[in-house]
Amino acid sequence: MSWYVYRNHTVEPLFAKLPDVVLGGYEDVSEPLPGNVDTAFWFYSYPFDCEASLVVERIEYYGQQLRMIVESIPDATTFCLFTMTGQYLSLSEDGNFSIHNAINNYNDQLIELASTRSNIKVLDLSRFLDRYPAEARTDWKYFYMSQMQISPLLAGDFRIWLDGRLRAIQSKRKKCLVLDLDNTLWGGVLGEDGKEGVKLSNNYPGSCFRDFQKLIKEAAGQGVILALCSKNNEPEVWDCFATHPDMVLKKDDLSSHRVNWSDKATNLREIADELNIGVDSLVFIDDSPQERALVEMAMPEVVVPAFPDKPYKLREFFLQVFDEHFSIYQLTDEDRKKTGQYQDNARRVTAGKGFSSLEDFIRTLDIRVEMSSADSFNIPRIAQMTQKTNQFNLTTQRYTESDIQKFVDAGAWVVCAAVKDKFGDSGITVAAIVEMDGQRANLDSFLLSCRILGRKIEFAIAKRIFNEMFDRGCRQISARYIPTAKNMQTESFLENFGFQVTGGDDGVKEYRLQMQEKFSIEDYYSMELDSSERRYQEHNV
Amino acid sequence: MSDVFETAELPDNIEQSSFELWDSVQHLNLIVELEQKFSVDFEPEEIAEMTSLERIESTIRAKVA
Repeated sequence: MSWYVYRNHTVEPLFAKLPDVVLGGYEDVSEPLPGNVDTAFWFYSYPFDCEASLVVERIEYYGQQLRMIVESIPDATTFCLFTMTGQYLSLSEDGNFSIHNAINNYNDQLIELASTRSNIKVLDLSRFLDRYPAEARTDWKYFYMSQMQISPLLAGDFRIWLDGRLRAIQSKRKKCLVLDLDNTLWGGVLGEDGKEGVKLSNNYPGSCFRDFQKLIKEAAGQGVILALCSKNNEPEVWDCFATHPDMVLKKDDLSSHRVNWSDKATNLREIADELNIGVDSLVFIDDSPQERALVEMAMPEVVVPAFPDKPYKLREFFLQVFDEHFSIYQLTDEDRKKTGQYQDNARRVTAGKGFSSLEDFIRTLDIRVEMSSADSFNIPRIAQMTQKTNQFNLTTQRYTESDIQKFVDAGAWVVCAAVKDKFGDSGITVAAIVEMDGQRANLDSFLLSCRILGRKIEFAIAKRIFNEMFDRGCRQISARYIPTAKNMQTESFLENFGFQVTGGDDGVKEYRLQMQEKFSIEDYYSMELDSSERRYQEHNV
Repeated sequence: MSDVFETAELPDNIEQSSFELWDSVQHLNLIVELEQKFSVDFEPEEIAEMTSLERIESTIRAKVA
């Protein structure tokens, strides 16, 4: 199985444990899906901008990105779209309302897309997040440290939930729910308390058990097979089923039963045989830790959920068990009906604001690159970038602040850049070190933070740097690619600009470029370089 | 630590700078596990400092004491 995740924030804790998974760049829809991806996820989280109007705009932008990329997902790839859930962090009610609307429109689009193609599925993230109190869903510490919008503490639970949803999508649901009786379907022990004494009624705790039975009955209505496995005397059991006024489940609801004093593992095997299903499609529910442990040990293929310690937790328990093992994926008729109304709107939207190409997208982002030569203010950040940037880094040279200063003092051009677009400012996320020697220059370092990738901006910035070097009289640039475990994506980067490989071994590539003219840069990037020109001249006078 | 990095073999005093599997994402995974296991809360400043087994031990000890 191989997986790909389109995302707009840090989701590594949630997805990194999937075998063979690739996480795309942030908001990056510029690359085609790698070949052989079985399942792709679209996991865009509510954008935590501070202004409501920006949030709304960004959510709409995400919808447009999705509509653009969905065309390129092959039919054989399952494309799972996560719905967006909101936290309404705006200070104004109007703001919150408009965000709420934007989120609903976005989710409607997901449902519409899922109804048009059978390989597109919608996963309702709120079903997972709603299990947790609002303050537990985002851990702000981790958000500010690493843009994790969902608390990493929920990662373990998320993986279990996702697993259940994927099994539902692949129709790998379990088939049969095997139930114990005492302290499971009612409170107390039938053999000791008698049918009048067991807790099953309209009052606490009997009401908890009654509701538990109701949920089980509903599950049966959705195709789950029910079986009974209890250490009791049969006549008493059927008498209770038939005559207890609050029994919801009836003998007829059960497709198989083993009510005896033998061990439960043997009984489960017989139930599976009788129903002609594998033991690996059984889910065994029993309040007794000893019985559960025995079955777990004797029959590891059987799912044995941990039974809750309090009757009032039974409902939540059952919903989770059902979600994980029995739910099937389906769009309801209602969902489909909604899309009929939506389709007209959608056609209007795509006609008016359709993006036919990546270039159109990039243009609307209003990207401005502000480049600054090294000075006492940005040298610390430049040094830090050389130490921390691992992926988009041609040579991975690690420098301290004084190393950078030495470069500057020796006449090298050290430059950094911040990238702004209509949604915000990335801060200084580019650094380059160019050693200058008359007509010759050496590109010692070129690195970018992954955050700004996805808009082909690395090409524009590189070109601008080479153009600056050309302006300063340089005609020959040497450079190197030094491979590490993390920077494979830059392996052939320089070759895009005409750099020729002139040597190198052990994976290292030595490059040279003869520059005859400047590069032309697409007009939808706006590039600014500060007064470095003046500083250069000052230095050389 | 073994679980987070999914390897049984760990050098004695391992440091983030010298252990390749210990990147920034794994660092946070490690922190999350430690927070849950020891029922403590680390501040971002402390998290940035906890880059070797030694420093992790001393930070936790100070918190739990």
